[in-house]
Amino acid sequence: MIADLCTPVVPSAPDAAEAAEYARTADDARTAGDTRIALVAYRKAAELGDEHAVVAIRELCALGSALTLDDAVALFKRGELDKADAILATLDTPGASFFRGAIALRRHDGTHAEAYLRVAERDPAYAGASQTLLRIARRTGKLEGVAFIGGEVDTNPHLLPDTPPTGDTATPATDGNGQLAVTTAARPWAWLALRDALVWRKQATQSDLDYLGNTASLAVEDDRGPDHVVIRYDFDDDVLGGEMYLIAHRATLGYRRDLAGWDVGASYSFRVRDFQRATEATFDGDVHSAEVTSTVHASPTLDVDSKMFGWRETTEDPLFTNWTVGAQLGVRVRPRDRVRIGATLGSWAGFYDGLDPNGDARHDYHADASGEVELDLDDNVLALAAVTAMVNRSTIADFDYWKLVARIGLAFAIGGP
Amino acid sequence: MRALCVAVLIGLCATAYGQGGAAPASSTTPRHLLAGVKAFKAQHYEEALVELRIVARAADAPDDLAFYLGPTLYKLGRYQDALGVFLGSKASRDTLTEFYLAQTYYRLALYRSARAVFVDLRTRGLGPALDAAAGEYVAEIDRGYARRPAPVVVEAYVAQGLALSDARLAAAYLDEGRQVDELAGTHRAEEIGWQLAQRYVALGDSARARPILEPIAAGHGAHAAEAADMLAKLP
Repeated sequence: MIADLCTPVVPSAPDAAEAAEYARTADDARTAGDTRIALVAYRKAAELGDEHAVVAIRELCALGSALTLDDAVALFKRGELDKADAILATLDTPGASFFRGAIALRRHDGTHAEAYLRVAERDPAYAGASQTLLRIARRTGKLEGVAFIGGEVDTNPHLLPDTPPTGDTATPATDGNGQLAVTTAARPWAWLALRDALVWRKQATQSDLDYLGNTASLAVEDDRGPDHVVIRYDFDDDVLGGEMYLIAHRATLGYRRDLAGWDVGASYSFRVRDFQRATEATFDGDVHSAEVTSTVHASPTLDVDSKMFGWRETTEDPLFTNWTVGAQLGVRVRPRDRVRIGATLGSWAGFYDGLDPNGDARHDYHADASGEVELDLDDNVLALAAVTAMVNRSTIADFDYWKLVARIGLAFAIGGP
Repeated sequence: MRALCVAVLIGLCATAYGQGGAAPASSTTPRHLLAGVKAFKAQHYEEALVELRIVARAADAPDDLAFYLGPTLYKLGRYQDALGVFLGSKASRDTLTEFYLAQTYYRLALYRSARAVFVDLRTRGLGPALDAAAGEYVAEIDRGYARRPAPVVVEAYVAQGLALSDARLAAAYLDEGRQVDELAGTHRAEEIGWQLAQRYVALGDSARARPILEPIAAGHGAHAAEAADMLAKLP
């Protein structure tokens, strides 16, 4: 910024020889593109009566502020990607290339991201960080795909995804399973995202719980500035034990604001669930969910997430119709270049319309914790290990349950262009 | 520590300016030098740089101008420029200038070079504050190099050295690459040494070029014949 050097010059006693020395220094600096030093020297020359310096000051100040990498980085941190990129495009430095690469990644432009990061990695100051982002660039693009193959041990597989707990879950029977998950995403335009996530889970012994879930999503996004808005529709069709299990629709409106080092957001979603089997028909109904989120980027290797959430779940049986409020705290750590660790701790309380055996309204208290480690084995291959634990306590004993899941597997991720 | 550096610098500048009073009465150099020192003391580093650049152009510029110009560039965050000034100075460096040089190496991520200067300074003796600061720098660098560096680190230094057109700066990066290569075990000593020796020869620094060229010439590597030829031409 040069505004501080564009204020009126206060003249002093003229000295042509001295003024010429300053003017020459200023000219040299101006030729080298060193605008601030040129202005400091021109102001000295102008104070001493150099008319050429007065004109030069006027010209340089008319060109506007000399924006720097720091200015661009500050804009980048606030999510002003277009403005940051415009400044970075005028700076031919490894630092500028690094942040242009980071911006390209945020725009899912893997090809340009890789090109910029290749330049940045030649500078020792950016070599390590560029290597990390280059790996991500090779998994990023307008088309992205992730395939996961692994297995897990689940102490309570009867606790099904997106389904209220039934009495079966109070007496768990541990089972193992093999998993295959494939997620594909396409972004034909910056504002449109299409995504499909397919999960297949084959139980070792309890084949009635073999699960095939598919979620197709269409999202319209505005990611151009610090305000991020998304409108998304999800369609689920799930199969359990070889039978159609659940068809569901969800509409979501989300908002996030990037502040310097801190993001805040809020979202609302409306979900309609239509269970296909008679045994779960009592759970048919709607779910209205809302959440407020916050992410603090505490350091380059540490993010702290927190959120408060609540939902209103209506089912045909009032015993499962509830108001719920809760909170979750999470941390994401990158202790080494290729290692990412995440952990969450959450809890909620549910207050039900139905009555417990004592004639009092049912209420549940729930707590869960999870931990996950990701290790980059290669540009496109990751090893993953995760543990999830949860416990539920209800005023109706049938709905007390606990669950522990340990998962391990390998993922292959690719993206482009 | 910064306050201490500035205080010491200003004290020495005042002494130097007193000696500079012997310059011809018609010269404006002492006036600009004093103005630069005053601006530095007031933390007006851009103004100081303008004054010192005028001094640098003068025929009667002091030999030890790097003592003033280098720290000013350092304070402005112009670390490559500062390194060029420090390394290009023919005047023997005093302790404080060496300390600034080491800090400049550190800011440019030339950690092995920074460590060498800090360790040398501590061996020769520093005041308690600077000694503690140098110790912290060395400890920080040692923590960073507690594990064997990755080959990409060597590559980054070499690439930067090859990309720089200024032979002095290029040599600094290549020398760092050579030192890190030893720690990384990437066995690129001959390749990096050959590039480094060419920069030293371009700078007229035979004393540094010769010990690098001799083992290359004596070996059977790709540059053995060229190194022998270059050695033969050294003064």
